[in-house]
Amino acid sequence: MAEYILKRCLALIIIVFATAFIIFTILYFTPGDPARALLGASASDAEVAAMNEALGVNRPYLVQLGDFFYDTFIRFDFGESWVYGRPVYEELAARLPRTVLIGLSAMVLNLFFGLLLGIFAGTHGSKWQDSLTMAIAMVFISCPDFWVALMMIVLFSLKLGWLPPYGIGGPEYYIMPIICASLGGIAVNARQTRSSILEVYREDYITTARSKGQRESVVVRRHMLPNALMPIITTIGTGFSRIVAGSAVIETVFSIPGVGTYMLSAINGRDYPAVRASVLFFAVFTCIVMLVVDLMYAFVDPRIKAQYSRVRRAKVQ
Amino acid sequence: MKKRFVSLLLALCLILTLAACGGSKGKPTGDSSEPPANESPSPVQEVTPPPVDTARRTTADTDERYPKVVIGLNSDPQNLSPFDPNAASKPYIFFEFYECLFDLENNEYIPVMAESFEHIDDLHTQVKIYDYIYDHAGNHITADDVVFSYQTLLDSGFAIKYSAFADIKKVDDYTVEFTWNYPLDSVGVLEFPWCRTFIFSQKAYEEGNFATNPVGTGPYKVTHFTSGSKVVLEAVDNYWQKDESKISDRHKAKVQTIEYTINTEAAQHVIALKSGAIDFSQVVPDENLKDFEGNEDFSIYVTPASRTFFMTPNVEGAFTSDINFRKAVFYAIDNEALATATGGTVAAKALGSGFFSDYQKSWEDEKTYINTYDPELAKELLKQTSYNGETIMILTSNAELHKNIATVVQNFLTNVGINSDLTLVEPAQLGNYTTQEGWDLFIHDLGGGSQLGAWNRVFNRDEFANGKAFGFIYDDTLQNLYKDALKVANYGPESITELHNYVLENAYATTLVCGKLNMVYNSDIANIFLREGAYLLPGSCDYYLD
Amino acid sequence: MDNTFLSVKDLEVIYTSGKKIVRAVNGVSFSLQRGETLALVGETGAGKTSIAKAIMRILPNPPGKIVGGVVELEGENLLEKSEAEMLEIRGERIAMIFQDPMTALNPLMTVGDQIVEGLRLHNDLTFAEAKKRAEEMLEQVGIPAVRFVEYPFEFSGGMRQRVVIAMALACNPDLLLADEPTTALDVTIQAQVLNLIKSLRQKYGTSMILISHDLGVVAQTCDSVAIVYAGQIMEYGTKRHVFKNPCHPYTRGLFNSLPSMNSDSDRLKPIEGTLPDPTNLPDGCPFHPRCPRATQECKIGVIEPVKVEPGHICRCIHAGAEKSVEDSKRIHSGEV
Repeated sequence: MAEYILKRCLALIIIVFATAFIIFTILYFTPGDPARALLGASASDAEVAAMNEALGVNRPYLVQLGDFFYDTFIRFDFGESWVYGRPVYEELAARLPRTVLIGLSAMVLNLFFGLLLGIFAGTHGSKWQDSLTMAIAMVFISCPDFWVALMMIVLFSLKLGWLPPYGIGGPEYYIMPIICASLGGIAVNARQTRSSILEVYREDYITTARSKGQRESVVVRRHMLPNALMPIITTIGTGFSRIVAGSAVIETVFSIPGVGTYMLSAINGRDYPAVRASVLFFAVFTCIVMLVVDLMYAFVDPRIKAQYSRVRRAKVQ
Repeated sequence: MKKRFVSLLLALCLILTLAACGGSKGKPTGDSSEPPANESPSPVQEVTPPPVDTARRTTADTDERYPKVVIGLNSDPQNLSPFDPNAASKPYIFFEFYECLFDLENNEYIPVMAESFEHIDDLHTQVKIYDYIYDHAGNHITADDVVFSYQTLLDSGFAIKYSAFADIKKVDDYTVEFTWNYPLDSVGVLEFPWCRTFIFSQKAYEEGNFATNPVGTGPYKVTHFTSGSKVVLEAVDNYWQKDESKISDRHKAKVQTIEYTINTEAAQHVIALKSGAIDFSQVVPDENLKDFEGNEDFSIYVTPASRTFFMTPNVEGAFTSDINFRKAVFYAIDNEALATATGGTVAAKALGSGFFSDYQKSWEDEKTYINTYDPELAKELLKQTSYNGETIMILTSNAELHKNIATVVQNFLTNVGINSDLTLVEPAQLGNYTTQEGWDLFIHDLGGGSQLGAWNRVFNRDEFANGKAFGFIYDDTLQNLYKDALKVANYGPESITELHNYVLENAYATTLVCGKLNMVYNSDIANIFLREGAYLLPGSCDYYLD
Repeated sequence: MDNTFLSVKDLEVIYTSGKKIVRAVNGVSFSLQRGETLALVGETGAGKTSIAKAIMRILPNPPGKIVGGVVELEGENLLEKSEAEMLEIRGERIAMIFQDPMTALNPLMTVGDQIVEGLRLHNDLTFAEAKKRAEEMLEQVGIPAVRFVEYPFEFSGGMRQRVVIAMALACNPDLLLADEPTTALDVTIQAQVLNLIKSLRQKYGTSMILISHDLGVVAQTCDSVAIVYAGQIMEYGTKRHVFKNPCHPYTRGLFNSLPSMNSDSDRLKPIEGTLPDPTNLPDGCPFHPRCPRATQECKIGVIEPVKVEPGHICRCIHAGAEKSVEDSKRIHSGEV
């Protein structure tokens, strides 16, 4: 098991290197002028040219690539943001907790409510409870995040005055962003859970459990759910990418200074150091989440745990 | 069978709902050749704010300060370091806590930190600063600090419009001497060197981190900054200028705390205003203005802004090199309809915006292709060219407003038989496109410190690396007229008008629409103070104190 | 002396699928003495499993429903009991062994935990006590107790079936329902498992209903036999009765289709035709479309069971019409 984790960590390093290379190359070939973006439309061409030279974007590709890798991986210096004028690391460190808070909370909500709704729908398969829950899920999946966000703001901030419309501060500022970020994921998870439960529902070992005289609720909890969990864990893992992608939208609407908005303004402003650092951050974060998801498989299913471990016990005939 | 019928019905409902939504969201895209008659009210052009109620107590009458005001910004200042003060929302907030040697007002330099200045000769000017300037940390500002401020700005690479500046050196503890590259006879040539270069203490800069914790000399100091979210300023009690008579309106502190909150969505500003989360916003969409009308808690103020949308041709283009073609294009566009169609703008009636002080109202009285909509004339002019239905390219930024304007323009051109394609490009990439062949018409979004300044990026070929003005215009008369108008000696309505008319004669450019500021604010604010006509200075506004 | 332990009368089970109704069990009646083994024999789809699941009331609920009949266990009608009461009966008084050992166990629980689950449901035991008892059961079925902590995937098919048996018998149920317990196993293992069941039964005095389509298995293990066809019992009697003197044409067809070690034959002799569509059962005797002896009267009305000998009934109006077994053999082999 430990060996498996080690192998995955090695893979993570390789992925990070590859991501760094790819993002650097893409930015290099993206047309657009960092100096023009920084100085604005009214600066003269000469001033823009001088700024570009100062930023070092005119140097040959390999020189820039080498510098970038050296700085990032050996000195752990992510450079200074051209737009924000201070080290990328500082800005990221300040913004990270907010994005991570929203992202992880949304994942927890996805898991919890997705499971609840999905089990409810799955165990009442083909009855009205199932149809109703799936219809609600369909609505959540179809509504765009930002529209839901604006509707919620109108209701809770404007009409009721319970929650602030945007910004950061105490926990009340994060309630709506987290809910909006999780709605789509809850729906997706609910659908996946439902179909997993339906598959497991007809399995023989469920009948065995019932035939032992076990109560239905315990049958669901102890026999159905763990066996249904595998595809659900996969969905949650991929749902994480959905949350990452959605973070930029949620953060923009609610004006939360997180990594999503940082990346957006960096891209628009051609702030290469900031873009690279943010992308690398998301890549590493995603890899770690995927690793945790894969380890969860081992945790849930002993057959997979056996695959990961080197020692296999021989089957006794 | 029943299931299929129900699904079909639901699908139909879905399509109908989508169509209905789509229809009501957008405004008419100017397909017709007449302005949409009475379909939607024409945009609110100008609304004067309610006059100050002299019966009530305001901050103008006493030294008392209004407690707190929350301002909604719609872009992130990103950092608070004193360089690049024109970027994002910095011009909105920097001038409360940073100061320069001079302020710019109507193209005149008003001393702030400078006590006096003297032109030694054509290329040298000495400036003496007050000897009792202290920054918020208590550091004494001397000539060394002034030189350091300039030097740091130049080293950062963010010094723009500094063509006149050659050098600065210390003469004595409170005097510095500027060396110029050429005689200062152009209007606005010192706008950036004197009025947009902030002065700060070298010690404070080196010991601190100005990007997040700036130490300035202004009437406010920064107490909180969360990048992307909030900036909080507190009034300074021991402002360095003790002589009341020398404190200009721009350096007052009539409110104790100013909080700026950032949100890029205009819809959020409207909600925040209604729920009381912010007290002021200037990006309220046209259609939301009526929500605040007649409401005693809010005041409305709509003014023209400096931002103007120009359309200029590529004079080396296949068809746009022909003056008749250019005039045909310009006569084919109805600015009034364009403003109505795009929302948030007003029609341009002459080559600029009424916002500027050097804009001449008399230009609007003449009939020009800017304020005349004549598709028949356009078609006639078109016949005199070699154009035969080929497709030309309209180039502009891919921002929402530019896109809408370009689409409407395209429709107008189609009406007179000119076919066009739109190329929408990210702002950061525009430079690559405009310096090369291939485009025929370009839509600019220009602002500036004055009308003449706004024309700089189009007509002044010194601005460009290839030695030709925008759109590859190479016209000595134009250049001379422009340079002449800039000279301090010549600067005035006549020279500007001559330039204006020359451009129109040669059909070098047209204007489409001008921006406007839709301001809605808490009615506790008695009097709005705008710096240089565009930027709110909350510390200088007057507030009701009862 | 009524030793009747289980009594089933006129049991009816249906499955609803959309608009269609599948009549799985149509008026089945039989009884079981304490300690006795009854075999339910029939083709796949005859309704045997439905009978067993109906007795335990673990029919899959959305499609399946019991719509008639009485099931008396020691005098109490199980069909009238509440779910809470049934929870106590299942596992404790009636237990079931299923057909496919590969899927009958929860793959994510250790085998020991699964046995313990059953034990602790019906007995007030601590985990340690239950574990001890579970390990004893494992030993009894021939699995080393140390394998308590292993997962089902670490066992072969035969071993898993032993675990299932251990689990079913852990609480000493009075009645064991064994649904084709050896069908999925190969022949050598089959023998082991059958012997195991037999010895445990003898030890604990458990009654058993064995469902099978394998006449050889039935012959080895059972006391009485019921032949099930299209949800009805076509023939019912002791093993001796049914095997020596098969009466119903279907039963004879079954025996005829068995390949014989003694005679030389080139071709097998299957029963012509297929099972009737359970949503659209034919009127009268369900077997009449395939029966070589069907007459007009067979096609109408409900066929009542006919008593052939004491303790041997047959649901055929032509029962007893043949004069001899040889006679019937001739008829059934198509020579007539």
